[in-house]
Amino acid sequence: MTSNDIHPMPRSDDSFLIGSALELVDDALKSATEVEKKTTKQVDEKFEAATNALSRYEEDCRGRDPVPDHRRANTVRERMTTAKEKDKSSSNKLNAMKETLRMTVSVAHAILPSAHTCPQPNPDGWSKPTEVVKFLIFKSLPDDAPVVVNRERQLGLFGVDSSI
Amino acid sequence: MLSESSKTAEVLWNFSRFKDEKRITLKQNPHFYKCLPRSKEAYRNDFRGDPVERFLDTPKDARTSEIYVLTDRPGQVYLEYGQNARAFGNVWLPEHAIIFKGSCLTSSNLPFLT
Repeated sequence: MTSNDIHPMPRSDDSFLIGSALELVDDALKSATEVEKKTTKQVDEKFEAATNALSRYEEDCRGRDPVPDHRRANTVRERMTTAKEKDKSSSNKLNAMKETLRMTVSVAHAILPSAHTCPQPNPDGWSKPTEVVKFLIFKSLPDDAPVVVNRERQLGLFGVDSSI
Repeated sequence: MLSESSKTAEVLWNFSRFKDEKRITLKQNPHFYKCLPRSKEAYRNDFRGDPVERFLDTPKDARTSEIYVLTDRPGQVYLEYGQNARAFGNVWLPEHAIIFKGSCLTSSNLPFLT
C-alpha cells in the first residue's frame, strides 16, 4: 500500500461542511419527490440552498488544492445550470417523442387489424423481456432480514423502475 | 428504465425517491456489491469486497440477480495506523473479522471492505 492509496482523514470542518451539504441535497431531493412533477418555490429554494452549500465546500477545497485554470472542472453552479438547460431540452424532446409514438401506434392499429401481436409500447418504450433484480439493503453484516427492493431490468440491460 | 451506460448516479437518484426504509440518502453513502457472503463465518482476515459502479452482468442464482447495498451510519470511525489515518463510514463485527466500510481504493492489502 502506498500513501496515495490512503483516503485522507478529513478535517473536522470538512466533515461538517460536506455532511451538512449532503443533508441539504437529500432534503431538496425529498421535497422534489413529494411534489412530483410540479415545481414549487419551496423546492427551488431548497435546491438553491443545497447548491450554495456544495459551492461553499467546493470553494474551500479549491482554495487548498488549486489546479491550473485549463484543467479546471465545471463548478457545481455551472453544472446545475447546464443540467437545468438539459432537463428543459430533454422534456421537450420527450414530449415530442411521446407525440410521435402516439401517432405511430394509431397508424399501426389502423393498418394492422392484429396489431396486438406486435410489441406493445409502454411508458419506457417498446416492451422487452425482463428479469427481476433484488437490491438487498444490509443493516448488519451479514443481515438475515435485509430490506429487499425488487426492480426489473431488461435482459441484457440493467434497469431500475424509474416510475417510483 | 436505465440504459446500458447507466451508472451509480442513476441508481442513487432512484433510491433517493423511495419512502420509508427503502429510501437511501446521499449522506448514507451507499455502496453496491455484486456479492457478499450471507454467513458470518465467511468474513475472515483475508476478506475484501469492492463496490461496483456498473450493474451489468450481476451474478445470478436460479431465479434472480442480487445486488447488495451497504450504507454509512451517522458519525464516522477514524483509524490511525503508523503515519496514516483513514475515515470510515461504518464498521461491523462478524465472528472472525472487523469489517470497515470506507472509500474505494485502487489497491490495498488491508482486509477492509471498501
